[in-house]
Amino acid sequence: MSEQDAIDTLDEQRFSRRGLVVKGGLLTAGAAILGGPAAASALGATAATKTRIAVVTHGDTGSFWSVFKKGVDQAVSDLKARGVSATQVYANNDVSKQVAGLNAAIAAKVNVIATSVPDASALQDPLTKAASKGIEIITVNSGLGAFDSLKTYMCHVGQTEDVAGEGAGKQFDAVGAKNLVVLIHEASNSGLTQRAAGAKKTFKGTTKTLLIPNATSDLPGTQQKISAYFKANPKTDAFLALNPDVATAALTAVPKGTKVGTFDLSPGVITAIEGGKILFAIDQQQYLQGYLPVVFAYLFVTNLNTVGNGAPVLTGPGIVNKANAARVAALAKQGTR
Amino acid sequence: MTDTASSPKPPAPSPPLSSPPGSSPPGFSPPGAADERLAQVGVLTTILKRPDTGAFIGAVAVFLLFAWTARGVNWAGDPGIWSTWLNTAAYDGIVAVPVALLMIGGEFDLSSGVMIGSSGLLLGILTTKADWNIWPSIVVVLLFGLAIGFVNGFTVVKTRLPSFIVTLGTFFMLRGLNAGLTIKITGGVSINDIDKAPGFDFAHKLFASTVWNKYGLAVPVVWWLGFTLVAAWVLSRTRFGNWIFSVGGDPVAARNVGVPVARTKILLFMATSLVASTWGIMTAVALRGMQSNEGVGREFEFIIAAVVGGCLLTGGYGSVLGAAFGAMILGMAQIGIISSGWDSNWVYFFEGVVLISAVMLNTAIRRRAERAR
Amino acid sequence: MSSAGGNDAHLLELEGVSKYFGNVLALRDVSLHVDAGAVTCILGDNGAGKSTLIKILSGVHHYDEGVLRVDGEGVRFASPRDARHAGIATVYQDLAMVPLMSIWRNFFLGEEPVKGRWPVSRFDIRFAKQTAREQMGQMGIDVRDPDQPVGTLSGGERQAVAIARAIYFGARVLILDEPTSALDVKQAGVVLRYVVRAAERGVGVIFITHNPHHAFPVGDHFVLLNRGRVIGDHVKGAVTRDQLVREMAGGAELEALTHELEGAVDT
Repeated sequence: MSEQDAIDTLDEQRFSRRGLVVKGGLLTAGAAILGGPAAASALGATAATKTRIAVVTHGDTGSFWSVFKKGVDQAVSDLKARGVSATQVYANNDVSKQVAGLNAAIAAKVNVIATSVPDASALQDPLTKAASKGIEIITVNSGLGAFDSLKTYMCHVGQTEDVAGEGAGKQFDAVGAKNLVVLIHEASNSGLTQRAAGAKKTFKGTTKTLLIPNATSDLPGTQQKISAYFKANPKTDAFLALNPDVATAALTAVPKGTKVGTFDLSPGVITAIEGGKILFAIDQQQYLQGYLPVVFAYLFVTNLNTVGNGAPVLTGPGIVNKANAARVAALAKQGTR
Repeated sequence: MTDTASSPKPPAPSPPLSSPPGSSPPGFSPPGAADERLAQVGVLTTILKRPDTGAFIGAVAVFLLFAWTARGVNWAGDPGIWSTWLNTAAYDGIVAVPVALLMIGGEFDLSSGVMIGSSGLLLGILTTKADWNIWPSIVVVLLFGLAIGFVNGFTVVKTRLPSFIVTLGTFFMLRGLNAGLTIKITGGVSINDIDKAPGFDFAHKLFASTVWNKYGLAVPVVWWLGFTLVAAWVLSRTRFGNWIFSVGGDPVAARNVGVPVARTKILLFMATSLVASTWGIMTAVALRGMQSNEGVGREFEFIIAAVVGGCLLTGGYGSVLGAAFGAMILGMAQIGIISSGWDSNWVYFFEGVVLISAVMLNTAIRRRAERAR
Repeated sequence: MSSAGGNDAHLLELEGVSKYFGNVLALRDVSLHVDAGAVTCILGDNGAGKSTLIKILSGVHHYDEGVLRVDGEGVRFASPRDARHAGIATVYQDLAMVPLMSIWRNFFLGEEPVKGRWPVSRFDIRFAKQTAREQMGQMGIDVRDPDQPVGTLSGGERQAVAIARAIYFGARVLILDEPTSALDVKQAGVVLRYVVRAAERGVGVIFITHNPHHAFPVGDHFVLLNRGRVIGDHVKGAVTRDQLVREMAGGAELEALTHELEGAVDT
């Protein structure tokens, strides 16, 4: 029985604890018979080696990060029998809370830290310290290229914000829009500014940005502000939201005929795409951003596997539009997309 | 010597002794002359004495500022633009009303923002998960508001801890509940499709419709006006209003003359949470859903509106009308900056300048009015 | 300014009243009285038992021995409310005034006159302003602007508001707790005028102070308290100011101190 087959069977019997124990035992026995000493000790080490991962992000409790969290939770649940455990910190856009979470992870001597990077300079110190202590580092969601130089840097799992933005710009181009406004809903998030910059790069018309800080905690107010913007800039015919809740709220505020696109999915967004109200959604598949780092961590700790070879593991941009919305809809209802 | 415990008979209060002619105490002039001297106090001083004068002046000044900088969109003359900032003002103004009353009563409620989200989420859960008709759901949400307000008030009164701290605790608890409980019940962190609930159409009409379709003036503005007028009347023209002033100005003195201090404060907390709940319902109906972040951080906007409106942070003095002008200033600022094409990073800076200027203006006016006696 | 005749019942009377706090004897066998239209001064230094005395008279504490009589009938107040109903009003040093509120609001705080029925019963503001102005007039103060916050009044004027309020709401006995102690000489003089004015309106005034110079001009009756006991009881006319001062300061001790000081200066 090859290693791959063993894992596949495990997947099928995922919910059977007894099945896992049995299969685990068979695996070890099988490996001892089949494999050389190295394989035996690696797989034999499976049951005993613990993989402890700390997932520390700047996320909040909104619809985007809840999908991310589902990814992490599912991965941990899938690999729990293999000794994988995770602590999760969602700092709600408070960088100092994120730094505190990282420091806590270092103190707890975890094997791997998976962190988002809304502000690279703020995280420089804790991550350098983590690297010096031999803790592996995976960046997720944001921060591509920020910490490549660290000794223990593994890879980036996410969507490159600028490339994603470029994708959005192209989408608007394809429908012939001329004046685009990008709504930035968080004041100090470089990822959002990168998305806007990417869109500006590929969009052939004019691109402007509108900053509404904390837009998601006062959606009715945000609607009024969007409405005011369009009154002040009546030639605007395209609107790009960087958050699904903002997108659905904006639908009632933008003038009829405005082309609306958004980042990230939500049930409301998918319904709107199916209904033709939203043109497209750039899906960065944040479920993967939560799930994959846990798997990579496990594979590295137990098997010294590395991924990417210096290139990021791209989880996006996936374009969700009318053509594929229906299929994605069912999954979004589960909260996994 | 017997100790008969006879219950003292309460005597009738002595009738106001009118001074019989010829026996006026020295230095006191007959009523006619006093009236004429009263008129001399002056209409201007009477106006300046009001706590809301500063806020009114501020609102006019901000309006004129944007009338100039946003003239490109006809800030001064386009009812559509007026509707936009009036709507935005209402979103702060509605909850600023009880927050102002509470501040005059000497207390703070930091949970007023997150309460909006909790209420909307509760409405969503009842209508979309338990499949209730929207109207009994609304009743339950309002009762929830009253209950949280009672908990806030009762805790503050019984423990004598600062309300800042107590309601901060409530804030964190509600925030955790918003996220955690919602995920547990729905698997996600936003509730959608509230509009599928029976009874929704009328609810939408009452809470989220447009009253002036041509220009987009939304019905929350009417609610805002209503709440403001009722609260202003209660504050200045009723017995309870007198108690509010006393409980914030000097609770010891108030208790000594028989004002029910605890009851007054608890009622004020309940009113605040109730109105926040109402606004949560209105938001959820308007957005046809609610996501768990809603409202977090807004509690400070309500406080700013009240302070700009002339309410003292230390309590005992202020005006509901002033808070309405304060909300207007906030609404104008947020929309005006966008309409003027300024970088919206300046919104926070502008709000800070407004806050400090308004407080300085209010203090200056009040001092001047006092000296003019 | 009539002194009580032997046959008339006193408006308020304490006879042989004692009060214990645990083992501590705060008041011992205290007897005093006040009549309508008269001022009884209670003099004593700090620790003499004045505050305990006030609290018993105003219903905050229960007394342990003796009897308290109102209009000749023995009573026991269950609470300050009872005392108020019996017409005994206490004006404490902090005056129970809210500085930021206007004169008329303070005047009617807790006893607001209302018009109409719930839920639209309103505070009868016109009546309140008018009455407040009238009542202050009775005290000799011309209130030009009843909207004036009480905090902007002088100390003496604030006392006047408190006294006028108490009288208006039916006080037959007015207990004034150190009304002049926090005031300068001029303001104190003004307050003493109000004390007299109150008595003139038929109220029995109990004026509590540690300053015999303030008490002497207005009192009809002087009771000296020291360590919970009555050490002196004089009717006006039967005592001079100096005698009062000496008795209060513990006469003999003051003389000894004076001699000592003079001796020190000489050498």
